[in-house]
Amino acid sequence: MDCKRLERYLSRYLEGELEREQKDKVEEHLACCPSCAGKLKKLEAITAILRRLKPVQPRGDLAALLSEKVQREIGYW
Amino acid sequence: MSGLKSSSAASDTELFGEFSKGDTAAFNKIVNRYQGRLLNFVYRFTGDRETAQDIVQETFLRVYRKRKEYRSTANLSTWIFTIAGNLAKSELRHRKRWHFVPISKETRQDVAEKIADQSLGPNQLAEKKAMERNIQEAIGSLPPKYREAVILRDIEVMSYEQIAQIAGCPVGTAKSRVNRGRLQLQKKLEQIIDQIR
Repeated sequence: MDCKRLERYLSRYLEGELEREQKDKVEEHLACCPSCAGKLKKLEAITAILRRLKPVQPRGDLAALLSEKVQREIGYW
Repeated sequence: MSGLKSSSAASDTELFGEFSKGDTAAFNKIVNRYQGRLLNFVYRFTGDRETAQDIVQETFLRVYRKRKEYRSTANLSTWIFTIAGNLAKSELRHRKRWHFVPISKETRQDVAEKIADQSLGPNQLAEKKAMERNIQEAIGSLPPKYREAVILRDIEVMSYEQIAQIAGCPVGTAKSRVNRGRLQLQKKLEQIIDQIR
């Protein structure tokens, strides 16, 4: 497996989604390619950063606002 | 009056069943259950909080209007996210040049966040804000298909099957989009990754 091909499998490897045979091939490549091993670590860091992003909270009472809109736009509720 | 269990106990199917019979309380419960996740998804996709708030409202209005079209065999959350995703993509197509609008109106939540951030010094706070801005800009610079897939997978923590349904593509394509999106983000956020590691 070359570096270009390995790139296609990195996310699935990270998430434990590869079949045994593919997983072995990825690991063989990672063991001998520091560049791809580094890329894997960075990919892991990206997913961790995204999962830690602070959620945006809704403003005001959306349910109440929607009830009003539904009444106004659709005519009944 | 809703004949349902408490909103946390009632399943989506039960809530939708009551809502489609005209129970307003059940509709409100659906709104309260999904508004936070939807807003987060749309905000990360568009980069603009006001637009995201409008799209979330429109999403629920469409859920209301299309309630007769919904089939209980479909997953309610997937259906709602599909509507929101389509609206967000449509909004994006209508803009000639997409740019990130800074959040200018201070809300109670913004104030609460400021208070929570007071444990940080001014430099740390500025760094944190800059980092958050860079991350959001990097997400916003991804092609929409990759952006949607990465947000749904890494921020909303959805399964590839759900992502495929929302994006209207095969599961293999959803996996490929997530991978490509992450690889592009990795290049764009090289500096931040090095700071954090």
